[in-house]
Order: sequence, then C-alpha cells, then structure tokens
Amino acid sequence: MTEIMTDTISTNLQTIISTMRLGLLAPHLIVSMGGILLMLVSLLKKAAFKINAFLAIVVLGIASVCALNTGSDPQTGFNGMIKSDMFSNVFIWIYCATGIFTVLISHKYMERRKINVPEYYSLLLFAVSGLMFMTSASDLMILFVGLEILSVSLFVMAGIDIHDLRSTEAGLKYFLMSVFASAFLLFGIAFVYGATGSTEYSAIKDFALSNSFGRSPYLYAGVLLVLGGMAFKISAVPFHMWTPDVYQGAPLPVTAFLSTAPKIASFGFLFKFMAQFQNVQPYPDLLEDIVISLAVLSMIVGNLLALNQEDLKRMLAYSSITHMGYVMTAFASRSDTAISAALFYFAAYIFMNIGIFAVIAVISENNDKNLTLENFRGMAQKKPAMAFLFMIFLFSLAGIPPLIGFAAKFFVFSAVIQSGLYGLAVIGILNSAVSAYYYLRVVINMYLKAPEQDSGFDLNAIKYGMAEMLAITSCIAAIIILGLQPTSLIHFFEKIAL
Amino acid sequence: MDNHILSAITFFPLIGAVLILLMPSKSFKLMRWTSVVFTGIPLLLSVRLYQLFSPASTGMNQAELYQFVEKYPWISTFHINYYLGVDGLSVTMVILSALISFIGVFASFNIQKAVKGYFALYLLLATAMTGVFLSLDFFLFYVFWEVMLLPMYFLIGIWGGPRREYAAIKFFLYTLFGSVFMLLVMLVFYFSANTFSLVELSSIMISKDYPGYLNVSVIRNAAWILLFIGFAIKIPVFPFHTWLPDAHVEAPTAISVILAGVLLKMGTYGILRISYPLLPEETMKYAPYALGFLGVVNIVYGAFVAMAQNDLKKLIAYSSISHMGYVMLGMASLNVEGMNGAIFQMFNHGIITSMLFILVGVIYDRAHHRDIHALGGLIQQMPRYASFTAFAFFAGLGLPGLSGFISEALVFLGAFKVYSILTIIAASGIILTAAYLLWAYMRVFFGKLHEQHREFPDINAIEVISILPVAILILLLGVYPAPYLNVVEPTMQKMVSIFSDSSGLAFNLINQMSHYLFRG
Amino acid sequence: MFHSFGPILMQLVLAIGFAGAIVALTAIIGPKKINPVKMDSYECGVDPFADARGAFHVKFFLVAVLFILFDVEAIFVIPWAGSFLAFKKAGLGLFIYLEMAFFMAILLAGYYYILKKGALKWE
Repeated sequence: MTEIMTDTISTNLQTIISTMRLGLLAPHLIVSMGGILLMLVSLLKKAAFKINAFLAIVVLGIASVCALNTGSDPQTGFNGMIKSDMFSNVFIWIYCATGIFTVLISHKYMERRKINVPEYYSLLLFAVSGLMFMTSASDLMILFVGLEILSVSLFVMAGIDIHDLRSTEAGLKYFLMSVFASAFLLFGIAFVYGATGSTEYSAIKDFALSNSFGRSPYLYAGVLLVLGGMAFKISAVPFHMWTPDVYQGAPLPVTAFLSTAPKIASFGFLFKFMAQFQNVQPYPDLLEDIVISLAVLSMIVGNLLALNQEDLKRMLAYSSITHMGYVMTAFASRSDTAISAALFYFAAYIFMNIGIFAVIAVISENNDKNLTLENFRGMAQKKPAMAFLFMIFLFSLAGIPPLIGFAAKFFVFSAVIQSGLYGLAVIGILNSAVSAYYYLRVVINMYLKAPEQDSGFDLNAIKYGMAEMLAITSCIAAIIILGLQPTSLIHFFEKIAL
Repeated sequence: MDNHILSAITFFPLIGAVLILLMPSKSFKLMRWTSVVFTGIPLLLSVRLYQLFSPASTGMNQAELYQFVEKYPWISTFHINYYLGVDGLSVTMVILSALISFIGVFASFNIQKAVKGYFALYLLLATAMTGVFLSLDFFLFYVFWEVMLLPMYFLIGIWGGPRREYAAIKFFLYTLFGSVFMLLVMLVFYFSANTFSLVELSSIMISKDYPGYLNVSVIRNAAWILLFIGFAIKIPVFPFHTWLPDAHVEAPTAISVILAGVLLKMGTYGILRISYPLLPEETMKYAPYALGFLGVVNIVYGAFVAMAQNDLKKLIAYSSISHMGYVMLGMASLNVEGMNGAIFQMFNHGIITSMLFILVGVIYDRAHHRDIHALGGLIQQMPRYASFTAFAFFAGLGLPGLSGFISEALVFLGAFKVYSILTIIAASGIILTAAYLLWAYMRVFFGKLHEQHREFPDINAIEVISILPVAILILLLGVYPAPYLNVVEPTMQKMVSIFSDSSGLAFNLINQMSHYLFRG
Repeated sequence: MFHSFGPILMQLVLAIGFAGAIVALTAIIGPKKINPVKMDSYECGVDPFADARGAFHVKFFLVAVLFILFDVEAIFVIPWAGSFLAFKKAGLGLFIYLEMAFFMAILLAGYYYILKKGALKWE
C-alpha cells in the first residue's frame, strides 16, 4: 500500500519537475537576479549610482533579447503556472523598454534632487520582474506574487525622495491603495478558487464553459472582485482617487514609470484572464456592463477633472485616467482586433507618456516648485527646441494626425465600432476631442503668452543631459515614424492571439 | 513629372517649409522669396494640370474617370491608400488653393515677428489644403484635414490681433469637433464596406446595395447629419458660424485670405465629395432643409449682420457667411445650373474675398485700425487704392461683367426651379449686399479726409502684385466664364444624374411648406 | 458546492457560540464581590508610571521587521525537510538540495546587504 503511494508520488514529482522549464522564465530570472546584483553593488561607497544605472540598462537589454528565445509558439511550464507566448513576450519588451527609458530619465534628475540612492535601480529591476510575472502568469497565485513584487518596489520608489514631504505622502498613499487593491484581488481569487477548485486559468476556463458562468455566483463575484482590484491599479474611475496625489508627489521619473508599466501590465493580465471566458454562452451581461461603465466613467470623469487643473502633473494624471478609459473600451469589445489595437495603444502610450514626463523632468530638475501651467508662459521664446518637443508630445496625446496618438486611437475606436459598440465609440471619440482642450492650454501658454517676469521659475536655467536627450529624441522619432507608418507594427500585433 | 504632378503640387510647399526651417532666422528676405518660389511652382503646375485636364473626366464613382491618379498602399491592414486624383470638381479647387497660397505670400511680406516660423507654418498649411482637395481616400482626406488645423491655429494664435488666443482656440475646438464626427462616419463606412476609397464607396452606395451597418437606414441618416455638422462648421452654416468673425478679426491679413479663400470651401467641397456621392438618398432628403433653407438663412442673416459692423474686416467676414449661403443654395437645387453656379461661386468667392481681405490689410497697415467711422475721404489721398477697392466691392455685390454675377445668377436660375419662394428671399440678399458694401465704401472713401490720414501712401507695388492676378481673373471669368464652366459641367452633370430618378418628393415638400408658411 | 463549506461554517458557529456562551455564562453565574483593591488597575503588577504610548526607537521596528522576514523564510525550510526523502526516492535528491542552496544563497545575499547597511547596529 505505502509502496504504491510513494511510487505515485515520485512519478508525480518527476512529471511536475519536468515541466520546470527555466527557459520560459529567462527574462524574469535575469531581471530579478539583476536586481539582487544591483542591491549588492549598492554597497559600494563610490559611484554605485552610476554603475547601477549602467548595469540596469544592460540587464534589461539582455532580458529583452532573451524574450526572443522562447519563440512565438505558446508554451506552458511550471505545472501550468506560466504560459509564455508572443503576447507575454510583447509585454516583456514593453516593460524592458519602459525600464530603460526610466533609467535614462532618472539619472540626472535623481542626482540634482540629491536622491541618488543606488538601490533605486535595484527596486526598478524588481518592479520590472514583477510586471513580467504578471503577464506571463497563467495562474492567479503567480499573478498575485508578481503584483506584490511590483507594488512593494513601487511604494519605496514613490516615496524615495525623503527630503520632500509630498513624496512620502505619495509613497504612503500608493501603499494604502495598493493594499486595498490586493485585498480586493485576493478576496476575488479566493472566491474563484472556492467556485472552481483551482487558480489555474485553464481550469477556470473549463469550469466556466461547463457550468455556465452566470449560474455560479461565486465565480461571478470572484471575477468581479479581481476586476475591481485591477481597476485600482489601472486607476479606472471610480477607483482613481489616488492617482493625482501620487503622480504629483512622486519623483518625476518614478511617475513616468508608474503611469505606464503597471497599468499596462494590469491590462495585460485582464486581457489574458478574461480571454478564458470569451466563449462562455451567454456572456454574462453584468460583467460586460461593468467593463463598459468603467470605460465610460474613466473617459468622462478623467477628462472633466483634467479640464481645469492648473498643476501640470495633476492634469497629466487625470488625462492618463482618460487614456486608460480608451483602452478599456478596447477591452470591452472582446475581439482579436481589439487586442492588437490595445497593444498598439500601449506602445504609443509609452512613447508619449515617458517622453512627456522626460521633458517635464528636465524642466523641473532645477525648480523645486510645483509645475503650474502658468510656469510655461513664453517657453517657446526662451527654449524653442524644448517647447517644440513638448508640443509634439502634447499633440500626440491629444490624438492629432499624423502622430502616433492618432493612429492608436484610430485602431482602438475601429475595433470598438467593429464590435458594434457604437455608443461607446461615440463617447470615446467625443472625449478625445474634449481632451484636446487641456493639452492645448499648455501649448497656448508656451507659444501664445508672453513670458512672465518674476514667476520664480527660471526656464533659462534648463539644461538637459545626454541620457535625457536620448530618451526624448527616441520617443519623438517613434511618435512621428510610427504615426506616419503604423502598418508594420499593427501587422505584427495582429498576429498575436490569445 | 506629369505622372506625379498631383504629389508635386501637394508637397512642394512642404519642401519649402523644411528649407525655411534650415535657414538662419535673420534672413527674412530669403525666406520670403523661398516661399514665393515654393508656392509659385505649385501654381504653375496647377495651371499645367488645367491644360492637361480633359473635361471628360467626370470621376465620382468610376476610378478610371479620374486623372493623374496616384495610388500606393499606406496602411495595408486597414486598406488605407495614398490615393490622389482629380476630376472636374477638384481640379478647379486645386487651382484656387494654389493661387490663393501664392498671393497670400505677398500679403505676408510685412510680417515681422518670428518670420521663420510663420512661413514654415504657412507652407505646411498650403500642403495640407491641397491635399484635402486631391485625396480620394477618406482616411487620407481626414489626415490632411486635421493637419491643416494645427498651422492655422498657430498662425492665428501667434501672429494674430489682441484677442488671438481666444480666437485660435475657438477655431481649433469648433473644427476639431466637426472632424471628430467625420471620423466616426468614416469608421462606420469602413467597417461596412471594408474600404476607405471614396471612389469605391460611392459606387457601392450609388448602387443602393448597402453593405453592413449601412443597410440600416437610421445609421445612414445619422451619418449624413454627422457629416453635415462636420462640414457645416467649416463653411460655416448659421448656428455654427460664430468662430469665423473672431478668427477673421484676429488673424493677420494673409491668413484671413487663406481662411476665406480656401478653408471655407473645404466645407462645401467635403459635402460634394463625400456626402453627395456616398449618401445620395439622404442628400435628397436633407438637402432642402440643411442646405437650401440654412443657405438662405446664411445669405440673409450674414448680410444683415454685416450691415451693422463698424470693423471693416468683420464686415467682410460676415459677407463671407452670406456668400457661402449662395453656394449652399446652389448645391441644394441638385440640378446642373445650380450646381455649376455653386462650384463657380466657391471659386469666385475665393478670389473676390481674398482681394477684399488684402485691401482691408492695406488700410490696416497704414491706419492701424479698421474702424469704418474713423476713416473717410481716402479717395483723395489714395486714388489707386480706392479704384481697386471699388472693383472688389462691385465684384462682391455681383455687378454684371464681373465673375460673381455669373455664379450668383446660375445659382438663382437653378434654385428657382425647385425652391421658388426661398430663392426670392435669397435674391433680397443681393440688395442687402449692395447696401452694406456701398455704404461702407461711401464712409471709407468719401466725405472729409482726416488730418492724420494725410500722409498715407497709396497702394504699393507688392500689394498690387498680390491683387492684380486675382482682379484680372475676376474680370476675365466675368466676361467669359466658359473656361471654368466647361471643366466643371460634365462632372456636375454626372453628379446630378444620381439624383434624377426619384427627385421631386422632397422638393415638393419644401415647396408646400413654404407655400403654407407664406399664404398664412 | 455549498456542502463543502458546511463544516467550516459549523466550526465558525461553534467557535463564536462557545466563546460567546462562556463570556455570557461567567457574567451571569459568577459571584460578584467588589472591593477597592479588586477594581484597582494592575492588581498583580506595578503601578503605571508613564504613558503607555511612548515612542519606540525606529530601530526597533527595523529589527522586528527583519526578524519576521527571516522567521517566515525559516518556516519554508520545514516542508522542504519533510519532503526531502520523497524527492530523494524519486531520484531528485540533488535537485532539491540545490534548490534550497539557491534559496539560502539569495537569503544570505540579503543578509549580507542589511549587515553592511548597518540595519542591525543599534547605535
């Protein structure tokens, strides 16, 4: 009897171990090991900050190359807990790119602000590895672990400026809100587990298909709670309250990272997770309605609150809520075109957002004050090149052709219309027109207003470093080139299915 | 060159813009003359285009009837092409935009502030305008349409008058909202018919074999109305017109010229190029109200408001609103005479209003204000200027022998057949136009000359160069309009033919309505 | 599916019910003889001499957090030890050994880091 038992255990063990395919996790492991390495390098007394910046870029570069290795065929490993495919690879590239851009724009800013703690880059790498786990996961537990690795790193990063009370406030707020979100998510996962007996996506899918989704209230509640938890991370209305304060308080490079990668990862997870219920018949109405209302609320409320903001960072915070609302409309349309459109939107969003925060970081390096729109008065006369780059980012965010922001919105709303959600498309397109107003307010201040004499804000003092310039110019190049010729990129994304 | 003549016309100004950006920012003269060259070449090319153009190219729903076609795939996932071509409708508009861009450069010679930026944006604007008139792909059309918005916004916002910020953002937001509606309709068309090509779309829609969502009549109706709002903002049609006077008053002279001369035509051109062939049934249903009735409102309302203006530029701005009403009325008639008149009026309004704005600019440069009451007796001081202005004003009020008369007459001829009462009301607009123009002329040029106006120099050579070609054209077309109408007529005939089979119903309705209205 | 949660629910009811019943019962049946000494706080201890909400040194929290961290990770070793033999039987002895060695290496790296950073120095 016991003989047979041990035999089955050992065969089970062997099969489980045989699914441990470390190759699938190569980028994740490289980045997290890199994080540990950077942590140890931080112990060096001198030049650790500089060495770490360099090492972080190298590690992220190697990781993104490694993602090529797994190929385009979907492969599962680790007893079904990890699924690596083209979809997750694209996200890995997005995270690595975001990480590299963040390093580029961090260095000078952190040094100027005297917050050049070398551990910052280590935390960044940990955050990136958390992101990677979130989208590679095909099990809710792995997702949760990834999310926590990400969140814990981000609390510290947001509050890293210990000389600045607002940064501390940002860290604390982000911490509290993330804990809330995690609680939602865990509660949801528990419900899902209770209903289906598994946390694995494929098992959840089988359960949902065999016992029609709607007839299992526990699964229903669980999925809604998971959605709610993620809505915190995405900062979809009504879970958006933390966004402006955190954006405003956190150091700018951190805000740049915070406003892009975690949101994209949360969407990546949602796309992957909700794809399991794609074929559920009939698709639960309530779920659809909730996603649609999240999208509509995010677009409208984000826009309305952005209209009258005088603080630039708060304005961008609210506008990012709107942008995530647009992606939410793609998410609501549940089609393959919507996925490729959303992927394109993410790529575009990274270039626009990182770029614009890079410009703001350069501007605010030397100025301790809050950046109000008034501070930009007459910038076109004092710093014409900078003003011009800034303007391109703003126009792209506003979705004016032929920049990438327009192409991205075009693809998203095309997908929405294709799915027959006309009302949603109309609301989205109208909102994108409204949003032009507040982006233009900045342009008006830069170009149409005379410079202020004693604003206490010296635009002339702005000097940019090489790394920042590299980040900004590559973002600009991407915005213009991909805006004019989006074909190859959207083609590439179209081949990606879930 | 002849194979790519359309691309050359479109993108030559853009090359000029890039060159100007590379120049040292103090070499004003070089920039000015570069702009002259890079708008001059497209003008010559468009004249060449006119020579080569055969009036038999009636375009519309037949791809082979477009000339100088250039078609290359652009975003293949969405079947978006770089697709240019001309038919009788667009060829004259291309000439108009090339001509107005060219003379606008001369009107910009007195710009002193940030000259480099000004001319770069000006040339970008010229490219975008031409692109709108040449695109046969809905998406490309939309992109050019939007690209046009930005330079215009900056040209008003930076080089404009005291309230330029307000005017610029008002212009921007109005137009953006309009184009957003257009985007929506564009997507509905694409996802129904799976193409952005206006040629293919019109052949599908004319065959009444509606694909996809367009099979639903509510969607077609909504599409027409949304498109109309988008274009109506640009024309501008009565309730959407408030941005125009603000923009004109604040804009520098050359930009007013472009705005009135070319940009307003894009609204009516868009309706003719997109709404008419793509949604013929709905056009018949709505044209009497949206174009006919609102057109007459435009004519009368614009004229009355113009009469009350003290600012010379505002007066011309409102006269533009009034004159665009004739275009709409002509289009609403859906017969060859009316449509010919409408297109001809588009062209004539373009050249006449440009001349008027340049002339207002001349006096503004000297007096630094445009207040009609503060001027007077200028005929003694500036006789040549007074005679040019008299010519332009007479052209504006439709004096026989000048081109405006022919187009207005054609519009009335066409419109009277279908909307007799509306046309009679509209005809009163002629009297009102004569009234406000002559009254303004009287106050500016006759009477007592103010002391401080004594040293005003008369109109100079550069200013004459910028209005002379237009003046000659007004006179020539006024006497002999055949070169214009011959080119346009076949296309218009073809366009009217799609409406002929079931016409009558909608028009009877409006006739009856006006009948009841006016019988009491 | 409800029946699988049944025992848990029952246990919950029992636990709350029992605790509640005990508290209620002592309040009801227990003798109540009140005297001043009995009502005094800290009958069996020292009289309070300062505010209980005094500030702790921040190092205290740091050390406490680090303690919990390593403590929780140590718990991980117990199931490893428990299943070691099963793995060995399956011929995966080296594998499972290296797994733990790797885990320990990461832990040690962290330990080295906090040691060098001086997180454990009280002064």
